[in-house]
Amino acid sequence: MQVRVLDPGAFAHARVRLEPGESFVSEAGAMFRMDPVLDLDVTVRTGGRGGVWTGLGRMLGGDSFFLSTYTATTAPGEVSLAPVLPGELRVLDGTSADAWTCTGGSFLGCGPEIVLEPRFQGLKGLVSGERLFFLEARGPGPLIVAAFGALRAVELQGELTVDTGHLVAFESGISYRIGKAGGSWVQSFLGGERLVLHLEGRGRLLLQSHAPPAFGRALGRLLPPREG
Amino acid sequence: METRLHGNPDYGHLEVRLEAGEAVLAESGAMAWMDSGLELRARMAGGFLRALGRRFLGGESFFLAEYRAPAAATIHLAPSLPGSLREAVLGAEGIWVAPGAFLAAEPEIELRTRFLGWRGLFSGTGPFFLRLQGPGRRVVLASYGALVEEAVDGERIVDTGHLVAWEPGLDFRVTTPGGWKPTLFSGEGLLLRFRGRGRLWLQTRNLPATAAWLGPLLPA
Amino acid sequence: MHAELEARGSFSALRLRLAPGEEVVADSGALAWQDPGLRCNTSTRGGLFRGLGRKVLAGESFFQNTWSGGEGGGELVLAPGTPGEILRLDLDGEILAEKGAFLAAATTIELDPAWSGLRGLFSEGIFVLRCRGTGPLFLHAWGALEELVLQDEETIVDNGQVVAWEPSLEWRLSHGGRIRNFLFSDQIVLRFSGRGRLWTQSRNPRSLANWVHPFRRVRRRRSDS
Repeated sequence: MQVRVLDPGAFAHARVRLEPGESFVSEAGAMFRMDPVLDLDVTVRTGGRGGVWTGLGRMLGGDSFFLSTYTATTAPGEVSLAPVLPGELRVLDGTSADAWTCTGGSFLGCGPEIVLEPRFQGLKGLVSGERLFFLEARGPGPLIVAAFGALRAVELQGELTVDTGHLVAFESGISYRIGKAGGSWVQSFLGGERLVLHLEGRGRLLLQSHAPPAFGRALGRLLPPREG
Repeated sequence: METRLHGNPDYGHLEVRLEAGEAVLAESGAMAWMDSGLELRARMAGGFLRALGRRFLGGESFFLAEYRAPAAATIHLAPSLPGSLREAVLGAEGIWVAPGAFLAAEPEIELRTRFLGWRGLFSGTGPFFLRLQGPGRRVVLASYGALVEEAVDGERIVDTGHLVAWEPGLDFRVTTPGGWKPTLFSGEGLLLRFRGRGRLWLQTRNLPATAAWLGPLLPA
Repeated sequence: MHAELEARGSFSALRLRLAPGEEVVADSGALAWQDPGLRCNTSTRGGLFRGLGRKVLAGESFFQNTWSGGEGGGELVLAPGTPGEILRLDLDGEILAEKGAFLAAATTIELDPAWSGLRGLFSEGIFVLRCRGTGPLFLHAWGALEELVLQDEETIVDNGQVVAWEPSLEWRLSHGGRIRNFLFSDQIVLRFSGRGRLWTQSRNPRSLANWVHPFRRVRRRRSDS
């Protein structure tokens, strides 16, 4: 198996080469181009409890998400994967001991030995009812994450406050606490911040220069309304 | 206050290093990541009524965010849309800025809003422009797409969705592409005819056009 | 017509200099900025949706503006709605393009949109723009552009990520793969085979539309009386 990032600038995509017997998993719908010799199979994974989320596969009530599995049977083949938003990609090396936690929208694909565990986090009393959807990826093999915008790697040694829309992934040595940006709640709201994460610990942290919710809201305002 | 631009030309984002006691003024919602300990305060742009208009007519939040550092700290700021950042030092006359293009500035800057009139409602950028003043003060502007600087000496017609900023030596009025048919069906946004002498900053992408492109692809 | 890309790369725009009286056809809404004095004429060149019969897909249109240089000629800058690259093809013959990718063309090129549905259905398919003639043709991509040269091979490309292809290629719409769960709405793909060139874009407009859908305002329902 070989995973490469192509067009590493503004609109990167990933190309995975599979030898016979090998397989790879991606967010459903990420398939961009594929050799016809590969098998494409769509499966459902369930996890978590209740609620609605967006960002991975299809949006459903009940936390299910769809994954596509690509398998090479008789001959090698390549599949190209593309995320939804413009930005950079990074291939991470999973290990059995530690896990990478990525935000739901950042997950693009991974090798078949990686176990994906969804985690949902809410904040009691928050007016918007927004919840965070994280995907924990544990196991050996490649893990592809996609950023909205430029990807910035930070070696965390202490504390950092991150707007939730700018988080891509973090290693297990890092813990987080959901909070407000600073000052009173009213000040935070009027100042434009919604949820922030207070991160603490040691390890690698991947951030993205642009926040999908900010882009979605700016664009959503200009689109025709939808059925409720 | 030290600034560093990252990610240009496609994903420009701003790093600001503040000394103890310093502050930076930013568009609300621009905070991407920062050291703990920075204090956030909301500030209003322009007069109260004008600022209120910004919120309800343009869809832009009418408060700006001021981040103050009690101890030396770093904050990263980002615009909502992918594109380029440009830092400018204001001259005596200041500059006019389209509301979405303002990312950050030194907090001593003077900010006023100018109402564009009812036609501004269709421009997608909101019916207000910002006037920034403060000789020698630094301002960071953000474009959607690439940022292009044009020196105008005469006339130029611009779709408002492509406006980033301009010098006050240029004045403008609303114009139409010519003839009733093009105005209704041509799909162009609100057009402005700029006249005079000065620099004009333009962006190569336009959010209402992106929305129009997505329209037919949306689920019901 | 003199054409040049303003700001090379991901967010480039197209700067065109027209000679007096010279014309260019551009997608409606593509004008970014221009010299005064250019004239604009709107039309639906190429007819309305041949092959579609009476059913018109919601929101689909193919309005173009024909810009002509006034007495002194003039310059205009065109920008697509999509953040992405611009492809220039100097056409001498025919090329098939995804209709949404059209940005501008010389008036010596005939543009003919037609809907091609999966198994003849209207619900899933691709809007193909047949471009025939001689002269420059400008298409825009959502994402990065890649040119592929197929030499008696076959490849499968997601329906939303095809920009243009040469008519020498054989092509057909089909489903993506085996679907195990009826809840998952199918991925439509284009299968290309034979010899010819194919241009792809590295992002999918429909995926973006589905992604942004929850951010839309909700239409308030009127209560029943």
